[in-house]
Amino acid sequence: MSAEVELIEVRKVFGDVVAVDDVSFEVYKNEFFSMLGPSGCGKTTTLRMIAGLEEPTKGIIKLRGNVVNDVPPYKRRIGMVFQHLALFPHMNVYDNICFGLKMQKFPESEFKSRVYKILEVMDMPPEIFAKRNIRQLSGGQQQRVAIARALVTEPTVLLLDEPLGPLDLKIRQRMQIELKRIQRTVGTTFIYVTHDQGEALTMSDRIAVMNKGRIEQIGAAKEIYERPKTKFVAGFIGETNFIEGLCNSDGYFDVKNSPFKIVVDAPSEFVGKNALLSVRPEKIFVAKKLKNMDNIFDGTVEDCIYVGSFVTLRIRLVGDVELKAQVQVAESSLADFKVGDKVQVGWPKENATIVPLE
Amino acid sequence: MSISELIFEKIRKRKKIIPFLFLLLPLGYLLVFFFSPMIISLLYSFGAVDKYYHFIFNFTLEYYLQSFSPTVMVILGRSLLIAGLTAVCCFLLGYPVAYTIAIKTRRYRNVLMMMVILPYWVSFLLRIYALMNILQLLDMYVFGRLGFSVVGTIWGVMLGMIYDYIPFMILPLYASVEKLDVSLIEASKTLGAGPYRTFFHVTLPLTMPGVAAGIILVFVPCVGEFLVPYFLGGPSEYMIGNVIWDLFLKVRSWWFGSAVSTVMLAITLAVVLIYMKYGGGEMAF
Amino acid sequence: MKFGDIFLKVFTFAIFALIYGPIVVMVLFSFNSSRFLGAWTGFTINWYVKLFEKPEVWGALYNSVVVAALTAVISVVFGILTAYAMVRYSFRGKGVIDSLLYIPIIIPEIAEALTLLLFYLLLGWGFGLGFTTVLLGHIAYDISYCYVVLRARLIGFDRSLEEAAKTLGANEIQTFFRITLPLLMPGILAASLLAFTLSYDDFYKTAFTTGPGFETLPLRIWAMARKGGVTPELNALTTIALGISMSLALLYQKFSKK
Repeated sequence: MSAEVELIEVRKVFGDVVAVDDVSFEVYKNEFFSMLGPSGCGKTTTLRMIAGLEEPTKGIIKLRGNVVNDVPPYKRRIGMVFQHLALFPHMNVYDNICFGLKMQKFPESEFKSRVYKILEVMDMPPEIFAKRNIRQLSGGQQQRVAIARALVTEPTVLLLDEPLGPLDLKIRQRMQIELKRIQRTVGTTFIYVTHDQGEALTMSDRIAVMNKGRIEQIGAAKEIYERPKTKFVAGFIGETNFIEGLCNSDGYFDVKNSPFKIVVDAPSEFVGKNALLSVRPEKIFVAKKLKNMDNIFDGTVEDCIYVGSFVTLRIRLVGDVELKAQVQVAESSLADFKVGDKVQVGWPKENATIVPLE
Repeated sequence: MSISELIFEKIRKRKKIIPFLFLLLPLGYLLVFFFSPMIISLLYSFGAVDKYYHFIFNFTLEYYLQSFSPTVMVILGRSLLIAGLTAVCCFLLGYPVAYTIAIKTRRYRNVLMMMVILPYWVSFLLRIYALMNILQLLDMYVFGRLGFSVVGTIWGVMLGMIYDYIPFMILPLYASVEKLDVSLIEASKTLGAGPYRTFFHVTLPLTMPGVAAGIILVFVPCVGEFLVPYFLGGPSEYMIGNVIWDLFLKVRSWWFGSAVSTVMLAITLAVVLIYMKYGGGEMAF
Repeated sequence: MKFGDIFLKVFTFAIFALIYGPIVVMVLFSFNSSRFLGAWTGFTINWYVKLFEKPEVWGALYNSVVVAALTAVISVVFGILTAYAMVRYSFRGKGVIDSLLYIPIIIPEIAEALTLLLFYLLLGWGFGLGFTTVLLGHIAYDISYCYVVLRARLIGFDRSLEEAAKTLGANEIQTFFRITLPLLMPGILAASLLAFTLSYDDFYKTAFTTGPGFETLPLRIWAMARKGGVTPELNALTTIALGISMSLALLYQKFSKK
């Protein structure tokens, strides 16, 4: 697979602030690639550098194999959907979508057919919507016009900057599915920026998790969730329990300040080192009595919160280790926990991962 | 690429030049037609221009000494006093109006402010003339019968000044009051302060920037006012603006005139700076 | 309603009445068939008719409008250039230039007027005072006002619209003419109206920098007022001038809202 977009040691500094700190990655053709991270992690800045709206302080950006550092945005053949959409208020839907076609000198005879076709892909009947004023559209409709406008010129890459932020939850969920469908239909490479992990996990082929200007991990959704490589990734995506301790050489994890030994599958680079064990709440089993599991520990229920489809339990183990476990209500034999109950928690060794301390 | 595109690319590369390219014409124009005249007037006041309108290497303080003569100083003092009184009166009369429009009549706010701004757009000349109309009328039929007159006295001048400048006070005051967080006033009331105490302890201090702006916007132009004392005042209301006008357009004494004008500007600036330091607090600009 | 509220509203109404009263009286008396104030003898438009027979009046009106129109156009162009450079770019000396641009607004008009006269005298234009010298002075004064208005508009401008245009293939010049300029139009029109009015109403600068044979409307009004005081003819003239000013003001309000 060839790289559509390539960043090599890209750095961006604003005054004293390092917004993007030596970031390198590749995005492949027809991929739905997301950059995920909290506000201020540098994902939007990186996106804008790919678009050409910001110049990197250092590093190389390549599009389709060509270095584009000096190429202005209007020559890069990219499409971009902005956070607040940036639809031109003084033009109607048709003119907004047509704008790119005009600027990039598509033949005028093709304008109408192209605009109408893309509106149909967006599920917006052109006869109704083409002449409408932007202000008359709903949030979701404006979204789709913004995407249509960016896609109609057939760019090789579409950049999206948190486009679903201002939408209501239900519409947002629908749009996520829509976006995925559009990407599959049109076949354009999508680079999507968001702070919402659920969104990234749902839509992406691969995700780059960013924090403080650096990339913590890149991989497919499942890989990032199941096998986080850093403390940040483990903690940012989904929820997890962290336990500090030492990986010793016989496959045990000695919990710090505690008599516990946890059975783990420690990667060789952690042996003999202090590290964090990460185990997700839904991967922990809770019952009055457990058997046939690598790890089984005794504990007391400290807190019990009913959340509808599952119950979140806070359990204190002997030796002052506290774990958050999540139990599906459907597992009827395990339901009905009360504060103070004595229980057993456990998990097979592959349900936990080791990440570095910092 | 065509020639224009080549030039365009060249300019694009050297981003630093662009703002200066834009500013070249307008700033150049201002330099020639605004700032250099100011400097030239300074030169006149120091006698560096001769009567054939050439530069001469001369420096004299005689015109300034003339400006500091008792006659001129009295007139200047009177002008500052009148300007100050005008500012205070405009404040006293204008604040309630700004407050009422901003807070008490939320619905008609925009219409009312438009009605305040409208006179703004009518030139001073027209407004003073309109005022003259009615004051002459009143003088003839009301005041005259009572044995006094308004036109040609300090009362006429004060009325004229306030009439002319009150929109300049109401506007910044309104802007300041409008920005006020109403919940602050409500909080004050729930803490036990009645309407008067709330006003003096909360509203007024918070709108100080607007007050300061208004006072300066009224005071500064008022010092140099000419039309009001001309039409509505008598010889004892002669102001520094009248002096400058006569010096330039009647006597054609440019050198003395520019010295007087510079003194007026300097003293006005000094008064404003003193006010800003000790009385004004923050500025709304 | 509390007493305080009633008092405030009455007070405000009174101030409004005092502000508009004289204007209303003046307009009314322009229709008074009596020459003398205080006695209403009947409705007439005679005084307006008499005005229109005077060539000086037409001449002054014409001059005012031409100077104001030219001033508006040139000041707005200069204003846009300045505002754009100051808002969109950062460079050394920006703060100083910004302060300098506010000076024409703060200086008392008579001070500014006399400096212009002295300047022209030095250039040897003492005998050529008239249309050109008046126009040049008006533009110098109006640039700052246009700058202030347009600066505010540019600061509030949504830049992502321009960025979107760029990602769609428009270069800087295309973006400016197709996106920025059309969206700035209300602001540009507002600034033009402001510049027009400032020039149209101008008294001091014009009085100082004009020569024999060139008169604007304010100067005509001044000439008539200092000679004869309040007269019905002058009332008619000022009412007309007033009507024009008010229309401009209303137009400005309309464009400020957008």
